[in-house]
Amino acid sequence: MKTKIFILIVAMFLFNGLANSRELNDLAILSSMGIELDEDGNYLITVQILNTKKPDSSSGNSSSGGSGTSNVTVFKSNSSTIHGALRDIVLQSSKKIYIAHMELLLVSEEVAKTDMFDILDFFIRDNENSNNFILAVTKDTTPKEVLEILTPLETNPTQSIKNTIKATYKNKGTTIDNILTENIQIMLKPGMNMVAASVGIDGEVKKEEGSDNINSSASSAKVIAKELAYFDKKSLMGYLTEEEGLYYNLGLDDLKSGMLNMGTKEDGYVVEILNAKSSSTPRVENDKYIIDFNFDLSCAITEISREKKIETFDEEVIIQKEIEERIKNGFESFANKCKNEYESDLIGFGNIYYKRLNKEYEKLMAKYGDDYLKHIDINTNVKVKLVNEGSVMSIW
Amino acid sequence: MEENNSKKFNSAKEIIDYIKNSTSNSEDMVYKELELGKETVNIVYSEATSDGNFIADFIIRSLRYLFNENINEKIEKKENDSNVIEKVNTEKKRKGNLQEKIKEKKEEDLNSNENNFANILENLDKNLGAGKIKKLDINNEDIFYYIFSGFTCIMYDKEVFAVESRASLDRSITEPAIENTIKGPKDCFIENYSKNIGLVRKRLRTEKLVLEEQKVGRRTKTKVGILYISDIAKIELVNNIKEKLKNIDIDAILDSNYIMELIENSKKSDFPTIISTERPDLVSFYLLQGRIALVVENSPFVLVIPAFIMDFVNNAEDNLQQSRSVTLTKIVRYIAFIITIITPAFYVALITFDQETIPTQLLVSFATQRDGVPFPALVEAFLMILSFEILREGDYRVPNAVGSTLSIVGALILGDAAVNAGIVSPIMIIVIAITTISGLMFTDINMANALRLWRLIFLVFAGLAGIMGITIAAMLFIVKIASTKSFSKPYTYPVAPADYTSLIKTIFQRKDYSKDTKRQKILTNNLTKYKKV
Repeated sequence: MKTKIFILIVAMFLFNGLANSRELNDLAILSSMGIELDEDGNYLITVQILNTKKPDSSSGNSSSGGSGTSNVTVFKSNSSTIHGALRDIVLQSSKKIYIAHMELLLVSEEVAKTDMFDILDFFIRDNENSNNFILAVTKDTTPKEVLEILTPLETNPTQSIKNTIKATYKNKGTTIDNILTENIQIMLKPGMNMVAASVGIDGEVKKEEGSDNINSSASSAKVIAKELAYFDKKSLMGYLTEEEGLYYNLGLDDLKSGMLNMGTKEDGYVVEILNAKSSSTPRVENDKYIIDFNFDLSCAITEISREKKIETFDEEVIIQKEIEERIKNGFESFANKCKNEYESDLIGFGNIYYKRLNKEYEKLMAKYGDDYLKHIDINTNVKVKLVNEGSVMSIW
Repeated sequence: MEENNSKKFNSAKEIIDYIKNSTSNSEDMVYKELELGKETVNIVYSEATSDGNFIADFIIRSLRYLFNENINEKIEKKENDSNVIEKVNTEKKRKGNLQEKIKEKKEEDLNSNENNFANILENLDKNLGAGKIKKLDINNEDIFYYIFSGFTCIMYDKEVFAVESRASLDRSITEPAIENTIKGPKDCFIENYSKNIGLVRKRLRTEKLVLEEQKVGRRTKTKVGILYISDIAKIELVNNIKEKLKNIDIDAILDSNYIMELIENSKKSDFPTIISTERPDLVSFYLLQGRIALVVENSPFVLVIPAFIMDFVNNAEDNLQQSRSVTLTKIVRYIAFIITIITPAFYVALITFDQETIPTQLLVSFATQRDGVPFPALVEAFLMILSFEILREGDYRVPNAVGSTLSIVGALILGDAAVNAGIVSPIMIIVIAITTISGLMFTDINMANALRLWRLIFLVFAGLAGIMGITIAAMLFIVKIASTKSFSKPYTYPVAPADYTSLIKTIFQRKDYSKDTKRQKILTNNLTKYKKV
């Protein structure tokens, strides 16, 4: 027994041992990273480090501690490689950068337009990395600027940006909150291309000091979630519109909730999508590739303009038809745009064939090659159920 | 004392001299000579262990009466002394039984004073109205055992009679001090052997409850009673224990823990393999399951054999509470069992090795609290465990009056000051506190010590190799408890070997009494508690 225990202890040192031991005090917890290019074409990295300094006992109850009082520190560094730049931060920081808790990766448009695999390679390969951060593109701004803005609602700006994206995805449906692994899965899927969330800055960024932003009650600059950025095989192509983001999520059966404004301001109404289910079936007819999309939505009318009247059952049916028509047209025009304008298979039409009718997919690829997308047609069936037609009386 | 085996005593005087010599004239020994008619009777007792009033009232008086009676009979015959009759009548009221016996005597034998005298002594056990009376074979039996057990020795010529005249040296039956109950019976064993047996007997009024006695300890001659229910308990186990008790060769048994250690099979086990309880209701419950109880003289703790780990984790009071709602309590207790072993280790492992597994917000909170703490988490944990153990041990020993002060100084002031001084982090205080509090659930001191030991083992392994270390320590832990046996019964029963009916019964839910008709197979061959009508 004694020898066995001895062997076990020795084995512990050999297999794992103290090599991986790190005291928490020696780690600088990185919460978000921004990647852009500097003038020389090197990577410029901006990182937000969570501040784990114990609050002064003079400023309140010292034993409470916690994240409530912690803030962030921003470091910048540049190098020809991402890991190299990251290591160089040690030159400025007293602690080693600990990347496993990264929650957000911001990529400038410039970088995103080059090969995305170049950037993601480090995050996939290094085993210390977390892989559940959200990848977002900074639209019309740079990661450096975004990360230097301190946000008013949450003490941790990264959390704030991340939560903004998540909330937008959940409540508005116009963006996505895919984490790295999901992104990479999509990138590696045949017949499917990636989209990513994008963030931008609303308001004016003060150049001098970031923390002033918190002190003024109406902070001048806010980080906002913007439209979806879409990619081809590996690099950024452009941005979808907000409504297209909604149809993107709908097409992938991933829509949690959404809003549609119908009609004009005077003669219109607002539809809230409460629940959406979608299914797709690929088929081949007379050498034509057709995918049937079936959408099944529960909607509620939440706002009705002065001019609009929904009183009878017939009117309700008409409205139902209107919504169905709107979603059908919207989705089909989005699909057509993907085919003709964006030239990127975002919803993964090819992938649907690849998964369901693999032989047809191979034929498709052999026949048209990378141009296959233009030869797939979409057929959409929308079924809308109005669970609440906006009747004021029925509430009471 | 072994010398007296070879000695032959010829008179009472010799015996008394022998006693005086052997005890080196101890001051508590009392020697008395009684003149009864023409004859002289010697009385020897130890005033420390005997009840002086009892001896005066019931032994000396009775003896005088008995012999006076003999003399008076003759006078009565001749003169019909009315005074004596009156005296006899008053005595009659007090000792009716005795009188009848004496009447029988009267008819039988009235020949000579001497004959009568020998005769009465010969049948003293019948004639004397006092407790246990035994005629001692002075050449073979140890007279001192009787004297110091509180017997009074009556000597006439070579004859020695021991009459029980024990002084009450025991406290009264109180509420249990360690095993508190909320709803259960509140009596508890004390240091008196026969009262302890009585507390069990009054619960199990069956002739099948057998008591076998053995004396253990060369100097102490401590009585050890083996209690079992003859048609439930496995007789091999009883014989095994009897054999073990017989083989014990030790000079003193001062408490049941001595016996516990001497008969325990797996001495290497960290966990207790014998239940030691102060509650008679619990002993009765175990006896009915087919277990065996050892009542040790002068010890308020009764041993129960065999024991399973579940007996220490579960509280027997669960049987007194509503069977359905007790499930939650049980689950809480298992969680506490794991918490008390693993929490410090788990915290150290997460903090120093596997920070990835902590949610970011919590990690930031941990990091903020650990900021400025000069020691590694492992050292910090050891420091805190050490100071809490000191506090605990001190709390056990301190007089009750100072106890609350100590708690306040120790727990509140020391803890708070240590945090403010930046020696330990607040989270470490929380970790150690929850660990200690969880440990309080397990009342058996041996169990608590075992848990303490394993807590440290887990901590060392976690400090060396993180979660992987905990995994290894957990493996060792499981190997350890699974290889432990309590009197050849598997310690981890009913988990391994799995006994599903019993598993559900013990682990999750107590069976309804009306449905619980079977006993556990591992403890008894007599499986049927009762037949369902």
